[in-house]
Parts: sequence; C-alpha cells; structure tokens
Amino acid sequence: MGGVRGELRPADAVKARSAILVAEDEVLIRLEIAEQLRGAGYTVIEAANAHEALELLHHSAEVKVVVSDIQMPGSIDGAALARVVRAEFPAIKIILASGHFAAAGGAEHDGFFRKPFDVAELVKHIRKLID
Amino acid sequence: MTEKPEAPETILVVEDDVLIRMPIAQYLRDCGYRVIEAVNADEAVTVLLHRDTVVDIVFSDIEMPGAMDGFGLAKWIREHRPGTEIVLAGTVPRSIDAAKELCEAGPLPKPYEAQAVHDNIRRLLSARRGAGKARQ
Repeated sequence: MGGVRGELRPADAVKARSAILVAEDEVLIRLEIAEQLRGAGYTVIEAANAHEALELLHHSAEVKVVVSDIQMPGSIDGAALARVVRAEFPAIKIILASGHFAAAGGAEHDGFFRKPFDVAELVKHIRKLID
Repeated sequence: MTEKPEAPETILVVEDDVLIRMPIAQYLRDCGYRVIEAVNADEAVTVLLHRDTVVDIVFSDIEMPGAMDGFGLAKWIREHRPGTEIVLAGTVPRSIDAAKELCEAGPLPKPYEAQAVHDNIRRLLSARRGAGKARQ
C-alpha cells in the first residue's frame, strides 16, 4: 500500500522532524501547549486522552517526547500512560504535568510540571532532553 | 499574482477517531492553515466560545459520540457563530476530498497529494484492525 513514488507522504513528513505527543483532555490547554511547541519548531501530535496517545504511539509517527497530563478521564490516566511508554517505548522521554504536587503516581518520568505552568519553560526542558 | 492572506485561516477539525484526525489535521497544517483539533462537539463548542480564538472553518465528522453529532454541531454553529463556514464529512473519502479542496485554496502550495493522506489513514486503520485481532 505504498504512496505514489517520489511523493512526500505525511508519515515521512512527520518523521523528518522531532515529534512531540501532547496528551491533555482539556482542549484549550492542549491547544496552548501544542501551538507554542509548534511555534518552537516541533511537529506536535495531539491526544485527548491516554487511549488516543497509545493509539498514536502504536500506529503512527516517530515520537521523541510525550507530554501528558496526569488526571485524565478514561481507563488509564497519565501516570499509567507513562508506565506503558517506559516499558514499550524506552527511548521516548516522558514529561508529566498535574495540578497537584507529587501526583506522578510513582511513574518514572523525565520532567514534572505543576499546572498551571509556563509553556516556554516546557520548551526549554524539551530542548535539553532531545536537542 | 495571487494575494495570500497575512495570517493563515484557522480550521477547527472535529473528529473522534485520532487515527483519522491526526493525518487530516497534519495535512491541513502542511497546506498552511492553523489547525485546532477537537475530539467531539463539546470540545469544538469550548473552542468556538473561547474569546481569543477565531475559527474560520469547522471541518467535522458527522457521527460522533457525546451529546451532539456533526449535524447538531452545525446547527449550534449556525445559531451562535453564523459567520463560520461548516464542512461536514461523514466518511474518510469525503473528508479527504474536502481537505483536498481546502488545501488547493489554502495559503501554501499543496505539499503532497491528498491520496497520500488517504493511503496513510487506510494503513493506520488496517494496522489497528490487525492489532485488535492479535489481542483477541
């Protein structure tokens, strides 16, 4: 099921740049984080919950960093998502965010931001992790 | 010479299936639009009511879980945001055709054929079905 020869396919376009996966159930917060990361030059893919995040990780683009809210509706939250990412995609960096201190639920991570946070600080942290 | 708009038009893509939403949103971004993603009509309404966000076009799936489907969302938009263009597409091929038309009228030259987006979505959905079978 290849694309037309010589054409740039979307998957290739995504792989050509560092992709950040943002998992956040509040649409306006997801929008703010995603747009500031795009403004900083990253390709951003968006998930509205942990289930969507796992679908994207299993079936699509090459993601370098997952930025996830911890409190999200659905069968798994951000801490559980972080544990799955660590186990199945150990090369991917994980940044967790929460409105509560010490809410990482014991999940390993590469950064924790207490909400509300300055997205510029998140961008700086991501640069340190992958650039 | 064709005049290009100073700021890219904003398209709100409303689609509950992330493996369809992501490639279409990415395609429209690559065509030069600012694209906002919403997973359902509730999220779309939240974006449309946000005072700092101006949406020019709402590009929505028809069948969606939640209190409102695409038709309900279109009705809400006609009542509350009458200047907003609405594109409703109920199937992947129709979504691709609509995205292609938007891309051809968009701020940047077409980055790749819309058929490639269709192939990508088919590949993603087929991989999901394969993974579903493997888990059973």
